[in-house]
Amino acid sequence: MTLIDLVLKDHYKILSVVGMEKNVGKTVVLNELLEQIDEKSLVPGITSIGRDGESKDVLTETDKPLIYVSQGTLVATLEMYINLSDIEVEVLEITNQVTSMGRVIIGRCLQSGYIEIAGPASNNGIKNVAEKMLAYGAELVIVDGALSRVSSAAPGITEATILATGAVLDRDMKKVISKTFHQVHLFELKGLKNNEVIALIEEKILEDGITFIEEDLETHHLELKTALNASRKIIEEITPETKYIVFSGSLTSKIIKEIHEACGGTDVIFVVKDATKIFISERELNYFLKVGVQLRVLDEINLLAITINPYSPYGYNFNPKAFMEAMRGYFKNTPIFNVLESRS
Amino acid sequence: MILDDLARETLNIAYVHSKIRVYSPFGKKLKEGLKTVNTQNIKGLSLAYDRLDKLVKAIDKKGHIFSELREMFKKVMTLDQSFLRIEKDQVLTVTEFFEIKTFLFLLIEMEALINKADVDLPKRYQVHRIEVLEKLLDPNDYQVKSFYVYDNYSKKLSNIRKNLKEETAQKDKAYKKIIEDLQKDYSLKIKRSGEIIVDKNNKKLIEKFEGDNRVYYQNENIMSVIFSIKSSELLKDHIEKIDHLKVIEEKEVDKIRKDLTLRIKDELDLLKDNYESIGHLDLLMGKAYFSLAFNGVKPEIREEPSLAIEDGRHIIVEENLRQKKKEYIPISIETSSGVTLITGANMGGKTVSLKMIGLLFYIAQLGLFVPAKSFSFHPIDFIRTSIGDAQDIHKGLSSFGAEIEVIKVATVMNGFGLLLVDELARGTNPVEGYALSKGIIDFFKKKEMMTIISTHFDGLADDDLKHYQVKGLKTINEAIDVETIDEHMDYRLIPVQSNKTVPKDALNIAKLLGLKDEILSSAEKYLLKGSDGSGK
Repeated sequence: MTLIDLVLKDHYKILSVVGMEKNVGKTVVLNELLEQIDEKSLVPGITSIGRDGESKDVLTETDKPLIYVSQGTLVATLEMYINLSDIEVEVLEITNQVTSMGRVIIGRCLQSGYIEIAGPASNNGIKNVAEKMLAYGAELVIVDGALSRVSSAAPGITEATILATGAVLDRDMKKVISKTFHQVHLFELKGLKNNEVIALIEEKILEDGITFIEEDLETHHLELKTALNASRKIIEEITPETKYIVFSGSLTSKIIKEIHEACGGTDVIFVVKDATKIFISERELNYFLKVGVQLRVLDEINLLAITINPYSPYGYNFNPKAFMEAMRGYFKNTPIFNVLESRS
Repeated sequence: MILDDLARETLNIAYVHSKIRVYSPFGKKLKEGLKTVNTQNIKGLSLAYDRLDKLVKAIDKKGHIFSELREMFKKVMTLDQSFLRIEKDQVLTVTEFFEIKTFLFLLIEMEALINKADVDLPKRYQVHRIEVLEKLLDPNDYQVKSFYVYDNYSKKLSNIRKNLKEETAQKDKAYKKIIEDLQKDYSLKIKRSGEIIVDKNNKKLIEKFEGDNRVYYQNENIMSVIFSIKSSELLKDHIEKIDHLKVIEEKEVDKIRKDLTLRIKDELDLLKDNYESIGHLDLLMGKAYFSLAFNGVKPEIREEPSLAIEDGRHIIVEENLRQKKKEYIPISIETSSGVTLITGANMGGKTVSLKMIGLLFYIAQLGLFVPAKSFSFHPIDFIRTSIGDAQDIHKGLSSFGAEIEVIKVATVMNGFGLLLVDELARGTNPVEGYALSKGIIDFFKKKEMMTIISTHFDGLADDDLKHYQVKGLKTINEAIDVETIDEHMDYRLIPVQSNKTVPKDALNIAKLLGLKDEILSSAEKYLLKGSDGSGK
């Protein structure tokens, strides 16, 4: 079974690919997917989560890959990349998604060739352009996502996610597996079940900061740009009635720890947008779950497959077979693919 | 109309502007520069009312058309930058052509809609499609708003693209053949990228590949050797041709973009006119919707410097009351040059009435219909206000100081204007306050401007002055509180003919509000003795 077969089996229309780190072969996965879509004669749509930071960061840190698209592919990318690409692109729509590097445009590639893809910088923006590409005739939209705290991530708003991992994470294969296992563990965090609370949060989570929700759905809000180093202020706001603490940004182990210590025994539930917003180690996660800390996400992540790259650009490699076997041993329910292996 | 910051704040001018909604880029620009009409342009104002009247009536009749039109205004993109670039003979990008094309398509829809609305407006508000440009940017008559540099812009381009397509197909075919041959020869699946990863242990296969002139050694690592198809060598002819075709395609596309830009430049005036017309219409509609929302009446312009308001409403107070499910009592007043006094009970709405008069003037001179049953006026050159608390904040002056400051400036102002003073000289002792008030009134009586003063002082009115009085409390029997006093108050202004004294509602109100009887009866005694605070 190939990646595309997995996707088509469950009729997913919007798919994201995220990498554990750079050089795990995410671009290979993206190009491979596009090739497979092409073989199935489907019309692909592609976009990528943009970085909305200072242009300096964008220029030095960008790892936006050149993507090879075939004729007919729909793209949601920056105006400048449409104008710079050496393939002709039909402009279909100028979206209202604007990043620090310009407007995001939806276009149809009239020729096959290479184009740079950088779409909206926010999850909502990605969702918006992905749906638009479907409306313009794309049959499967691929989102080049990210796992980092600087930019938002995309897995939460796509129907399924492919996680790319590889030898580059660590010289020790066991550590690579353990880090990947932790990420998958986070991806498996459960969503909230109470629809009333979900509706309430969806209304409030757009605001920066932290929202406290009580048993009777009364809410109050704490203005904080991020949750980093803010536990003292948060603890002051917690009352015995507090049931949920909703973080619009990132949630770190430090905050969980300090709140849990200060208000131990309460059954307050920590809520984040999706698992990519949580920054805690495997050990800490296990500890928290053991002592009864409740972590919930608004958007559950549906992990479709994991891809592995046994080669590291730092000059060491894993035995591909051994790596694959070890991975399969740990991830019994998730299909694993070696991105560099020729299909047979 | 001259209005200082104090008057703007007191009269809540920003609220009026915020209620005029525009959606198109040029409409927003016009709204930012929106000003009241000055008195030299009375004719213009009168024409503006007629125009607005037509539109208000049309919206009233065919509202859905105008809501649709507003949705279109929202879709108009900012084109100023592109217009500027066209003027400077810079070549437009594909996305700019797309924007102009989108605009052209919008023009078609707007023109059709406006025709349906059947409202006769001057040229400045008219929108017309530009068929020459439609043909230019939709040369195949596809009727879709997407855009690229179409093949049929030039014979050359269409030939290049045809060749490019053929050449690419041949290259792809040749490449596919190589992959297929390799796959057959080695029984391996080979990726589109042409990379072949071979297990290092498979020495035989590696040797075989090494001897195969279709692939080259690319890389290796501990586990495998990676070969790659010599595509650039094997497909050299194709690749060179394609590269060449790409270069001349790009040159031709650039030439066509330049040409298209020039042809758009020929119609630039038309484009700009339409872009601006949309803005003008957008703003006029914003004014019409304002008038409809606040149930405005078309003002009548008077030759002589005077004013008549029938059932005027202060829109902010009215809105606040509506939210509390209470009704606003409209105010009527008629006056002209010289001084008008408004007297009456505490909490009788004198302040709101003064503010309303100023606000209605402003609204009228902004070219809007006025929230009243009728509004007949002579346009004014300025408004000065000394009302309420706003003045205390300014310059850190005491309320008395601030008031004197306002009046001082007003003394040197000429022409027909409006001076609104709430509770003249309230910030000082009654004896001097009364005297000062008399002096001020004597001075402004002779001025051309309209001075409207509210006061508690008795005996300020004389036969030379117009005098209005708040109708006052309807009932004096029930106990009331501050929250509900408005239900017992009749805020209407009643003209006072003779030199009547100021009504003594203050004690009544204090009583109704539950002030101690002891205090009240003591006050009654002083009142009878004639020490009523007027200084007489």
